[in-house]
Amino acid sequence: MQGRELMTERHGCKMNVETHSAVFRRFALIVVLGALLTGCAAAGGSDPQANDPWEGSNRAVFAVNEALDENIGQPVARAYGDAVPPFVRDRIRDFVTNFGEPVNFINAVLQGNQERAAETFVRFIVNSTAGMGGFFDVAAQYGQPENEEDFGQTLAVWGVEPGPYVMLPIFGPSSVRGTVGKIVDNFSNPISYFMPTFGNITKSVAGGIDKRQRNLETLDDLKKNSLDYYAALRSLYRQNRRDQINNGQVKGPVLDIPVYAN
Amino acid sequence: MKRAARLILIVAGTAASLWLAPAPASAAVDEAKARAFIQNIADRAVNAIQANITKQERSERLRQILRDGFDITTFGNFALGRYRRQASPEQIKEYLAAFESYVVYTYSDRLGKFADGNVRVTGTRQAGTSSSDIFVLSQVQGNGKEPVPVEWRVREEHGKLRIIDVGIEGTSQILAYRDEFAAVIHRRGNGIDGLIAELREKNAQLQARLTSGN
Repeated sequence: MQGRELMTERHGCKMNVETHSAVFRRFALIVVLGALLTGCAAAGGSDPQANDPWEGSNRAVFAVNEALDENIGQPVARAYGDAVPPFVRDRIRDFVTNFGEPVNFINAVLQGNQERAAETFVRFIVNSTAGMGGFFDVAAQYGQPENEEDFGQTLAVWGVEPGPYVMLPIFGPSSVRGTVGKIVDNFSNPISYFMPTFGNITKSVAGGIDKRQRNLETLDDLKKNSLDYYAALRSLYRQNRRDQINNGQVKGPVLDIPVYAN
Repeated sequence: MKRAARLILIVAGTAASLWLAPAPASAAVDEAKARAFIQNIADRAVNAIQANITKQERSERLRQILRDGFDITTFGNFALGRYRRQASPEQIKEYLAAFESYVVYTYSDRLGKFADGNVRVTGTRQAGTSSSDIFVLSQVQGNGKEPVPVEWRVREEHGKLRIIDVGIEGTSQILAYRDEFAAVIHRRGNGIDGLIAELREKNAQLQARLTSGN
């Protein structure tokens, strides 16, 4: 009887300790969430039609991305463009593209797109051999350019909705669906398991620098000429993503642009 | 007598239905005409950029070319989206004026990169059953870069052809304007006036940049 009471007491005490730390954790969470959402609250909430309920925190992440890009991304990309001749840049890009072909292939298969799967398979074989280990995209010269497929697109083909807009740290614009896709793609490339970690990282960094270098002018233009860079990028990202999912094919009715009297 | 009355009724009814019915979708825009139109506007723009004139003169010439090429009224009205209904005619007028300058400045800046560029029309695509518009497909090449496929959506209005949208890599410019402007209006929270203010502010910025140095 006494023993049981004691146990209950002890248990109660332990419970108390737990409750205390739980309260503290919840408090910390509220502080963090509050900090993230203040931008959102101050702006009067996100426009429901923009499908961006986390706009406040997304904009905060975007600001950090922008700062990183201005201080690291752009200078590195510019230096890369200035120092590395176009021929070498093309070889690096072709190699990174060839490295990613297994992901394109797997996703073409998962999407049930036999034609694209076959094209990608042939590209990978041709470029890995005749293209000297992928450094030359000879398949593209023979009229077979890359079919970019990723798991986010596969999910879309399977009927999964994109979900809200997500601004990922460093990686930039995405959606909930796109984020899941990115994580899966990161693990689905069989070649990366045969490469040392250092090789994988080098490949990813090189790919990132190359991509940033090619987008320097486009993003510069958008930033300079837009009223709201974040919103402009969100619109263009979504439209372009839809186009990628449809493999560049025009689907559905044409955009309805009315005739205006004045 | 009865027959005559019926005849009159039928004639009147037909006339009324013809008059009341919405104008039938006009026939699709002529392909060759649309292609020539885009090529002409593009060539004029490239010429204006390459001509040895002051920045001010160039800006004026580009404004005229953009007016001849683009249906800025359609661009502007569409870009207002659902907020257009809340705006008064005066506000829309003010907004359209600011919007036109905005388009001129942004395009002048963009076109500046095409000093040795060119536009090659490659084909056309019908907009489909719901619209008589036509898409003119082209390859736009700027300063030693890879050519970029650009689709110009062309509409015929009162016998004149005008660009009503520009498509690059599956994106529609007119839709991008609408999404962006909706965000601005929503953020500012004071309707179209906030957008007009931001457009004017941007125009002043872009104008200063365009005219600086020359």
